[in-house]
Amino acid sequence: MNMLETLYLQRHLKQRIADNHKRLYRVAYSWGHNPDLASDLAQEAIEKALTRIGQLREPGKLDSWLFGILINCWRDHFRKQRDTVDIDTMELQHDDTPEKLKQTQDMVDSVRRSIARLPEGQRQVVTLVNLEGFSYAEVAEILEIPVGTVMSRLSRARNTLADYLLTFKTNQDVSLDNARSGQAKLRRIK
Amino acid sequence: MTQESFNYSNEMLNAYLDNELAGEERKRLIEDLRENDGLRHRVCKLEQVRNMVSIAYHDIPDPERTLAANTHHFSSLAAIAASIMIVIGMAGGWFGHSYLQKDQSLVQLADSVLLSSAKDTTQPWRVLLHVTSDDPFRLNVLLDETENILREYQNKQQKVAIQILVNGKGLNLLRNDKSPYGKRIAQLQKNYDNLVFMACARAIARVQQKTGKNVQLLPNTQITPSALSEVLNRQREGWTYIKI
Repeated sequence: MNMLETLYLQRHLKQRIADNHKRLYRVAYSWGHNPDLASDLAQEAIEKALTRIGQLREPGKLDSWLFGILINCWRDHFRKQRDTVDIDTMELQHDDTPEKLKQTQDMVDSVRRSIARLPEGQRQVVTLVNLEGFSYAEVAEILEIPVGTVMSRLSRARNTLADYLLTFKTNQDVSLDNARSGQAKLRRIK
Repeated sequence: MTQESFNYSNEMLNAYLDNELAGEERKRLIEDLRENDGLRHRVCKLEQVRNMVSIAYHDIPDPERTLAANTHHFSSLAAIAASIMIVIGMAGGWFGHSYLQKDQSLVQLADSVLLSSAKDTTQPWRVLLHVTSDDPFRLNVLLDETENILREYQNKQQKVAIQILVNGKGLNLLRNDKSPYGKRIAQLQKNYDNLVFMACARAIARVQQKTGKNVQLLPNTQITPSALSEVLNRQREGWTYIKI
């Protein structure tokens, strides 16, 4: 590949990285349900990817490489912070909610709250597979875990979500029940 | 009914739903799904969770921060692209690769005729196909498979109701000025009165706000106030939900 081709490929990859901003933000949001943090992490991941573009050996793996950077940004952030996040006090952001959409909003909040309750590893697997359509092998690469672990975490996550969501309980019921049973205490998110 | 039908792990069922199961394993599972109510119930439960997760993050607001500062220097891309055909070829292959990985729901749609044959034939099968893309490949598969399902059910004299709901880029499917499928959609509507095309009012408003022009839809298109609300309502009513 001559210099011009290399230059084009790098520019092309950079454009593709920038185009992934919203995807990175959405996944970061699903991990922490904090729009400011998601925005920071997506931005940071893109900046790192742009400066490390030379390290990407297989252009076909750009997506998993990019989300691998995002997971490292996520880990670094909480490694530095070491603070606690009380998921019961977390405010779930969403668009304006007209009265007639209240029921819909309740359902959406209920799903997000249930995902926030999952252990971090399960939450990351379920969102990467479900929201971004990554294959199990790609998720294994992003999170640096075996494919078997991806499958078992996904299975546990979906079983737990089914228990939370496929009942007649409302979001508030789940939250209150778990709080009462002591499961919903302050959680350190690493 | 095979003995294996009772032995599927949840990992295996998830792999099926996430399009990670191939060849004989996938075929055998689909055959067992026809025979085994319990197995079908387990798959439906996992599928429901999978759909709920997708829906819950479908409509999150855009990130507040834009990347304008980082992206403006890519604007000369087009000039270079014209002179380097070999790299364009490589990029094409790369896009093709990631493209195929996003087609899980299309595979499920293609499986739908097969799977649906196991259902209770006295009750109409109700399917909501949610279209958020204007990719020609996806839209062609959507229309082909929709027609297959409708024809199959008509031939078997079984009842089915299909609703095609569009929002986001999917709105282009039903826009008078954008859709290349106008005639085909009109023909489908003429042949099948159990097929409904529906657009999201919020998506229409967004396009109108952005372009400053009125959006004209294909004839007989219905409008719902919110696609998200429509999806959740239909799911509550027991409709099969497939996102395209």
